[in-house]
This record gives sequence, structure tokens and C-alpha cells, in this order.
Amino acid sequence: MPRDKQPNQPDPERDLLDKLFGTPEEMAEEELDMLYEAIAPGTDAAAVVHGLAADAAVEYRIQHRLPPDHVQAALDATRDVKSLENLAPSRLRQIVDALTAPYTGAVKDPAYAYRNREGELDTHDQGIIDKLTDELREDWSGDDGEGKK
Amino acid sequence: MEAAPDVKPGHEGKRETVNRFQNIDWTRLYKVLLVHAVGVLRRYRGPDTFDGGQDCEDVVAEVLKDFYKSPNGLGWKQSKGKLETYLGTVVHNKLLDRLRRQKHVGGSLDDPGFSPPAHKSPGTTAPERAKTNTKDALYSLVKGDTELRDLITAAELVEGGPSVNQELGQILNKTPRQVSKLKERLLAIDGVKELYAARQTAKSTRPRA
Repeated sequence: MPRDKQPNQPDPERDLLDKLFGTPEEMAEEELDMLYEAIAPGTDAAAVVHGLAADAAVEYRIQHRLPPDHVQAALDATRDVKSLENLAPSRLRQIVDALTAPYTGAVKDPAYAYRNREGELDTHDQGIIDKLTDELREDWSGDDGEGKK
Repeated sequence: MEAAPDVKPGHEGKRETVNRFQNIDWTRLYKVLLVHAVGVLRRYRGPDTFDGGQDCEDVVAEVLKDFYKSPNGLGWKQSKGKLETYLGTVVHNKLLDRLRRQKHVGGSLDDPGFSPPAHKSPGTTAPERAKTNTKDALYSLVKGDTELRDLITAAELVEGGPSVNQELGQILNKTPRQVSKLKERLLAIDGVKELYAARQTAKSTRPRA
């Protein structure tokens, strides 16, 4: 026989916000960042992890022991990169991936707002693109004029 | 030319073990655990009595500290599933312990930081009240914005699994990316972030450690 639900047990049905955003383990990077910013605004997650791992590493070293692999891996992955020399290939790969990945967040310049865009453009958006096209054409024709001088 | 193995001096014999941890995105792990913790808190208690975001940060930091201090990483192995899920369970249990303790140790009514718990309706449990509060608060915050109101209504119909944006998109006739943008707009509304973070608006300016 199933047990009766206790007053302080969670309801099996999920919270509306959880339904809306899904489970964090499977969340896309962009949404996870958005929610993280809502929970801990201005907190650098890498710095927090590095601080915790560094504290643990100090304790291991005080006991004349090498920090275990998981501590070392966390330290390496979250260390502030000041020079590319002697950097582990995996870390270099992460940096290249981060630089080459398309930026999908909000942009200030409308010229960048149409990358990765899906669906039809409305007349307002089309107007902005036309205006930017005209500006670009003017710039180019200006460059041609300067070149002829 | 063969790439040099990414192994630290003194760790040559442990290449396999090192790689197991090098594949982990530690920054993402922290973010996932924090979002998970806030979800647990909202589910059990609701954002009605204390600064949930701050509390969750403490719990996640405590769990990661224990994980790093444990020479075998609290016994985690790849065969036990993803590290995020494994530590997520530890966070869940620690948070519940803390909630149970707080239930027994109440603060003074004269404390300026004290806020009364939500009005209790007879016959409802804390999680049920929290759920109703969240739903009502969300609808009232997006008042007037039909697109966001539709998004919330659609969320009531889905399970909230891994492809939630696709499910919501099908209901709203939008692409997953457009759904994601709608969520971004929802979070930009005053009060929604606080609601998500299980944090009281008045306390959101509290200085962080």
C-alpha cells in the first residue's frame, strides 16, 4: 500500500519555474548562465571553484601530500591564464573553442543582431538592415573616392 | 607528429585517472549545483522566509569543499554517473538537513531580518503553498505581456525535461531559440530573478562575501 504523503515531503509535481527551465544538468550554456546570474549576480564561478580547490590543496601540502587528481584538475582548469606559454594542450583547446564559438547573447550594435537569427524578418528589422547596408555602401564609395585622389 | 600527453610530472602513471577529471567543466559544475540547489529549496520551502540564493551558495561551497578535501573525491567514479548528478544528490541532502535545522531554531521576531512565513491555508503543505505562490507571483509579474503570459501557461503543460524549449516551442509555435529569448525577457522583469533565486527582493542588495 502506498504511504500517505508527509506534510514536509516535496510534491511529485515539479515547480512551475523548474518546468519552464528544465533540469540544470541538461541546460544549454546560455540558459544556465542566465539563471546563475539571477542567483549569484556578479560572482565569478571559476574564482569560487579555484578558491575552494586552492584551500584544499594547501591542506594537502601541509600534510606533505600531493593534491589528488581532482583537486589538481580543478586548479588547472580554473587558474587565471596570464600567459599561453607552458599551458596544457587541453586548456589551449578550451581557449580556442571559446574564441571561435559564435556569440549568441545580446549585442549593442544592431548589425550583429541578425547572426543566428531564425524565422522571418519583420519590416522594422528589414528597415534597420537596409539602413546599415546604405551606410556601408556610403563608406565604401567614400573609400573609393579617397583612393582615386 | 603525436601530441604530447597532457600529464603533470609525478602523475605519469595515473594518466587515465587524470583525464577522467580533466574532462570536467568545473565552472559549469558549480553553476549547475547552484541552480539545482535553488530548485530544491523552492520545491521544499518556497521563497517566503529567508535569502535562498545566499543559503544555496553556502551549501554548494560546503559540498565542493568536502569533495576536494576527500582524497577519493567522496567516492565518485564514472561508473556512478555524472559528477553533476552525484554531487547534486549531496547538495540536496545537505540543504534538507539545513532546512530541518532552521525549522527547529527560529529567529527572534524582533530581528530586523526576520520575515514572517507565508500565510498558511489549512490543509496545504509548504511545497504546495510555494508552488501556488510561484505561479501567482509569475502571472502577476508579467501582467500585460501576452507573450510571456502564454509562455508561463505553456510551462504548466510541459514536464520540464531536457528538450523543454522544443516542447514549449511546439505549444507556442516558436523555435527553441525564440523560446530561450522569451525566457531571457522574463528574467529581465523586476522580481522574476528574485523569485527564481528563492530570494527576497528587499534582501537582494545584501553585500556578498
